[in-house]
Amino acid sequence: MAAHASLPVQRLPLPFQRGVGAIDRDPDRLTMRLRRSLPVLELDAADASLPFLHRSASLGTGSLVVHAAAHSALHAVNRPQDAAVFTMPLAGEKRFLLGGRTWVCRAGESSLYLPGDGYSVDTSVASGVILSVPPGRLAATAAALAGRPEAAVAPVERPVLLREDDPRQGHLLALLRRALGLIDHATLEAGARLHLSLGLDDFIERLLALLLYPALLESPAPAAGVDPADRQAFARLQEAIRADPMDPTWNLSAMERFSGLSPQRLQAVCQEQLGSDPLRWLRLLRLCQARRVLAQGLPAHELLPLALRSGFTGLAAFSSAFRARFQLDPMLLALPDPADGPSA
Amino acid sequence: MVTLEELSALDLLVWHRNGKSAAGISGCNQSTISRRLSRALEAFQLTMRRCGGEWELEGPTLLLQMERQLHQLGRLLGQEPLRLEISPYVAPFLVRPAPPGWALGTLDHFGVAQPLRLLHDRVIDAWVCDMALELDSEELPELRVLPLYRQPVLLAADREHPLARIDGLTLAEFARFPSLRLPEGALPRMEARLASLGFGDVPVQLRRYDPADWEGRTADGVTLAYTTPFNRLLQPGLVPMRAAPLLQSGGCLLCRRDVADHGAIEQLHGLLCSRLHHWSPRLEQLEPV
Repeated sequence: MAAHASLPVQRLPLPFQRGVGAIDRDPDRLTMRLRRSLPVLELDAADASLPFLHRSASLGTGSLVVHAAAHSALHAVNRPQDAAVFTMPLAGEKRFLLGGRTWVCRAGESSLYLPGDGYSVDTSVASGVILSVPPGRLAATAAALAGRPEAAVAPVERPVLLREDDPRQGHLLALLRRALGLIDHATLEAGARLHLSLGLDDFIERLLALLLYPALLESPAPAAGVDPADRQAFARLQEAIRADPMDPTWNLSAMERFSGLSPQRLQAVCQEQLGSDPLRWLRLLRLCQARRVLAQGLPAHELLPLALRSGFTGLAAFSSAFRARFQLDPMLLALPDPADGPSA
Repeated sequence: MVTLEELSALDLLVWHRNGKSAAGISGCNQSTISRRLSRALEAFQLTMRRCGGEWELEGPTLLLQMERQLHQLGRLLGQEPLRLEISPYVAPFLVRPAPPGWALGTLDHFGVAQPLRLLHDRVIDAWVCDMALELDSEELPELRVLPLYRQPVLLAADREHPLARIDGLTLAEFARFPSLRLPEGALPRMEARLASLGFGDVPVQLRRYDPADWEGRTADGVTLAYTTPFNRLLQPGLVPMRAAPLLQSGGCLLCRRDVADHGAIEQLHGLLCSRLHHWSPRLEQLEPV
């Protein structure tokens, strides 16, 4: 959490409603206000000795409510509620304590679905989006996506951590960020009314359903006959690569050597397990790692070496892939070089 | 994850059928389109194949459809030009110049199946169809149909046709002349209507509308074709027969229901209506709605 603690809240843009978000500097007043729309029992600044700042905006339709917030480090306790909560940090990190287990989600790494149970949360200085929607609604959406709207699909009633470095989940999370990025335009198109328009709410619900019911995206003709031993070998390979995805020695041959799998078997098991091919997955891991490095503070002049370490041929290709994945320009995340600063 | 450019390469190729056109629209070269296309197909685990001159995608398309929906929202919100396909018979009248903010398609679809598929898949955002007869709104629950005009479809032939200037003929009196058969399945209701009247005995191989391969076949002075008020202005050598209409049809603007209330669609509808009113004095028997 220390990595993001020094980020000033003012530097964190709200994902939408930037111009009209509410500003709170008193945690008690904020608690009272949030209780009107969120199941907040208590909320405090993590460090009472520091100035507290919380900027937020909410949009709601019939079943979906979208909150955007950028705030100082805080501690909050929420009571159980009917709606599930999907939290997607865009900067900083959040630690949720739920049923005796801790769930950590960090910007650029993971998002978290919570089925409506009570929880407590500790955050760094952070910004992000919280989507609130009844689990039954998502189950019904999943049934409709499967082409069987009348089918009984069980609501997801356990927390689900969704990872950016999982190819399928990462793709959907990137789509979700882009959809959230359209909210301002969409609400303006709708005459600045505070609701989502153009079916964006339905689109977001469908994305959430796809995230929670991954079988919906599985190919109707799954790869036949992946050997269980190949899956074990691939699991070991994943662990090794995740430990240091920037290791320049990782390439297709190294992956085959490490796993002991032939090119065809490696492709097949990677496709089955991750819905991707090995090199595409490696590039995704490196992009996620690059984002972590940037979040920890990287001078702009070190962007090119980072791009090259991430397996890109240059800064332009890296920036393009980074923007496509995270809807962020890596140059904006990099720290200004000392020579670029204002002169005294 | 695919970039905007990669998905555009895929959809422009599906829409415009070839890399050269897709490259022209995207402002890049064909090899760039090819590279972007490969990445998009790989990302979605899809393959493409040609079927009846059109590209078809094979593989799981749910994720692709989600991407397309988001890209369509982006177009509606002004991030890229919207995409309009239009019947070749009405294009010269209604989309010259192209409506502001809209990119035009191939303007050569003869039947309704492919434009409907493009619209359904959100490859295009709107389509002007001039054979509303072929559309059954109950079978298209996801689409909004905005009527533009009503028009009759008449028998027509070269001005030298033996019956060209004779009044008061019945349709039965034309049945002894050869008449063009519509490409199978392109316009099924009109095809059935013509068959029930005994027309359509000259088969025509026609994937896309080309006047030389369609109305041009009447140059022998005996073969009958079919015409509408718009078509009459485009093909002055073709004269309508002085008999009862074969059928009544019309023109309409179609879009997906979930985007139908968007301002860009409403503006397009308004512009089309206004251009229609401009032309209607010269379009005999056409009734703007």
